[in-house]
Amino acid sequence: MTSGSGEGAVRYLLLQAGEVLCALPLNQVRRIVRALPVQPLPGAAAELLGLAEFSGEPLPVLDLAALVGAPPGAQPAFPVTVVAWAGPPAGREVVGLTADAALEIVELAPAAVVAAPAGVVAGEAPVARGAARVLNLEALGAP
Amino acid sequence: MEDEPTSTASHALFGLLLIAVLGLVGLAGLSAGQAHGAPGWLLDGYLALGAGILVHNAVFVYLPNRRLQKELARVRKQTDQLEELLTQASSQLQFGDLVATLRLSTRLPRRLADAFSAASKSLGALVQQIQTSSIEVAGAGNAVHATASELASGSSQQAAAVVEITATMEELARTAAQIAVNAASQAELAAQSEASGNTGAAAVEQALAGVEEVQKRISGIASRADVLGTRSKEIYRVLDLITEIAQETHILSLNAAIEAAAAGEHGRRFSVVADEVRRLAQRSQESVESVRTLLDEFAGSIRATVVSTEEGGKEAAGVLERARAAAATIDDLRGALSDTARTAKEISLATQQQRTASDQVVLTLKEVSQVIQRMAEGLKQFSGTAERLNQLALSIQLLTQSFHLESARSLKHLAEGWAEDLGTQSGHWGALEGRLEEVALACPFVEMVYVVDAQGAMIGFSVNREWATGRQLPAGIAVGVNYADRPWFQAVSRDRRTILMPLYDSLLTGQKCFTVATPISSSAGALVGVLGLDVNARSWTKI
Amino acid sequence: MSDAAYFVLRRGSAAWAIARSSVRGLARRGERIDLALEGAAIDADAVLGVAAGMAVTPPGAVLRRYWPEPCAGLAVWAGLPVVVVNAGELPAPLRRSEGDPQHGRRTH
Repeated sequence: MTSGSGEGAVRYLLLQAGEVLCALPLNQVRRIVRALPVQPLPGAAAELLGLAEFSGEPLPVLDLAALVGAPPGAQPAFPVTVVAWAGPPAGREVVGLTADAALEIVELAPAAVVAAPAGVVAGEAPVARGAARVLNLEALGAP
Repeated sequence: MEDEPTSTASHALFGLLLIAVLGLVGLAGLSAGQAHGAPGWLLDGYLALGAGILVHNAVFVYLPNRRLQKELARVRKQTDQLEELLTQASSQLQFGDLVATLRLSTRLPRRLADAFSAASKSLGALVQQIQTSSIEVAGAGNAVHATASELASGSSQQAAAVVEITATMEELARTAAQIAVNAASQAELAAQSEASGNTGAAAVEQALAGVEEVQKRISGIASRADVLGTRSKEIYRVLDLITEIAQETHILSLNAAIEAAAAGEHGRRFSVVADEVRRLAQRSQESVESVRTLLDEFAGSIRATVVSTEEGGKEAAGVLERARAAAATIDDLRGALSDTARTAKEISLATQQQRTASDQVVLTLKEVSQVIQRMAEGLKQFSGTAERLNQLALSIQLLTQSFHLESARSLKHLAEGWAEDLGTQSGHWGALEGRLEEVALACPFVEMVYVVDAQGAMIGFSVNREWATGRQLPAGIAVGVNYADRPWFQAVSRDRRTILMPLYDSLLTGQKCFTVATPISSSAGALVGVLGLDVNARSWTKI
Repeated sequence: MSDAAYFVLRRGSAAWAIARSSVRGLARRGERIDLALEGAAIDADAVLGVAAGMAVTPPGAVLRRYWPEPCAGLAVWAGLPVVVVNAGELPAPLRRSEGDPQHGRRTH
């Protein structure tokens, strides 16, 4: 557990998406699993990789790099699927996010996050490995 | 002799006069007697008798005598003419002019003419025969001379060739001796090489064994490297497994942290443990990476070893192959050296024999050379004899040409024919050059043909092309030059007959030649010029 | 959990489910299978099986956002995620294209 812990600090899961670091609020993370096999869905947008099965449930799987507009990185050694909660708290749903790696849990003070909302990206914050784009999946639900 | 017919006629006249005187004396006596009384019939009878005697004497003595005298004078004249003819014919015969002799003989009495004609013709035939024979002798002499010269030249070449062959044979003998020495040395060397080859073969065998041993060891190394490689792969698999476990552990620790977070305050301590687990997983991962790095290096070394051993193995196999090839080559070499030694001995022996044979050949060739030399000398003498024979034939030819024959081979005859032809144009020399040119063309044996006038001045001449080609015309030969002092001109002017001069050196060719000169007479018989022909002595056989 | 039975089929890279009751007939056409529907037809690469008692999750906002096609929901059959479709409102990938006249007339 790294970065600034302290009063009011929020914990994030630090993910590698292409060449970009992403910080996903830990309360939006349900599970991290090895990359799930995905069935592509014909006619889907680039962000939607397809469907997967998680714990007997169907799971739409999104490409995190595509979501944050990250350029592709090297071939990941141990890609993961992050099972996360998306959408507003009233009608949240479970989605899968494919990332190149799940790195660690970090704590960020709210003040450290520079707000710059754009889609799922809420802002940017410095972490030990560099600058991370702070995500907020609640924005995903909105059409 | 000359006065004989006159004397005879006078004698006859004298007889008549004597009778007349006797008659007159008798008449006087009778007249006296009559006077003295003698009878008149006596006087008449006396006068009648006297007249009868006179008539008788005149008819039967004087007149026949006078006829006889005339006949005698005619016969004398004929005899004189005959004598003159005979003298001329003899003179022509003396000068060898059988044509003139024959021409004159036709004017002789038939039997004499026949006899002269037969004699002239026989003589002419004889001369022609001699002429022909002389030409044949000269031809034979020339042929003999040419053959002898050729043989002499050939024998000289042969002698030179023999000398060359002798030198070559001597060189061959020396070379053979050298070869014999070399062959002996080679045989010795080959024997030494054979021994070395045996040693070499043994060394190669040892090397082969050594290389085979090396190859075995390389194979051992290669198989061990293979085992190591297999083991490395197993280690890699184990490392992969550890990595996977570490990754799983890492995800597990993250999920534990997530669960701890969800548990709120209760999950805080659990979250610490989860973090420891995550660190452990991370350290495991790092250790695995270190091991993997080391293993990569190790595997690299093994791969290099495998490559090296493979290359070494290949190299060893190559060395083995080359060593085997070398062994085979050495075997072949030993065989070849053995053969070489044997062959060299044979060569040495053969060349020694060859040297002996060469020496004998050289000896024989020297003898041959001497024989050829003697033969060449003999041929030179032979050639000289042939040359003399040729000269002799020429001398005979000159002798025969001194005769004027009714023959195309008689130079005098030819010259006189042309002179006669030119004589018809006497005083008109306009076409002379052309005519002389024709003569020169018709007579290839003539170097030059020329005409001088009655005073000896050159009127025209023509040089035969065959002789003129490539030669400078001598300064002394030109139109207008006077040749009155030349013997041929003087002889012709004096004798008015065709003459043949002795041999001399030609001014034009420098070769022996002789001159035939003949007078050119006008139709009136006056000398208007002299035609000269210079005949080349080498070409006279073309006459 | 629904008691309805579905034909599970494969078309392209995805698995699809359609209510058995809406299928009028099945016909093999070469390597492919024709599913005749009421007023429409599906040209399947393969029919994988028939599913009964399959729990169908209604499509969420995320799915609809990135895949705006009509569908009844999502389900899992034999570990395979399946898109459940209505026979009356087929998604574009299942509908025959204009270049397929044989079945295009039947769909309209």
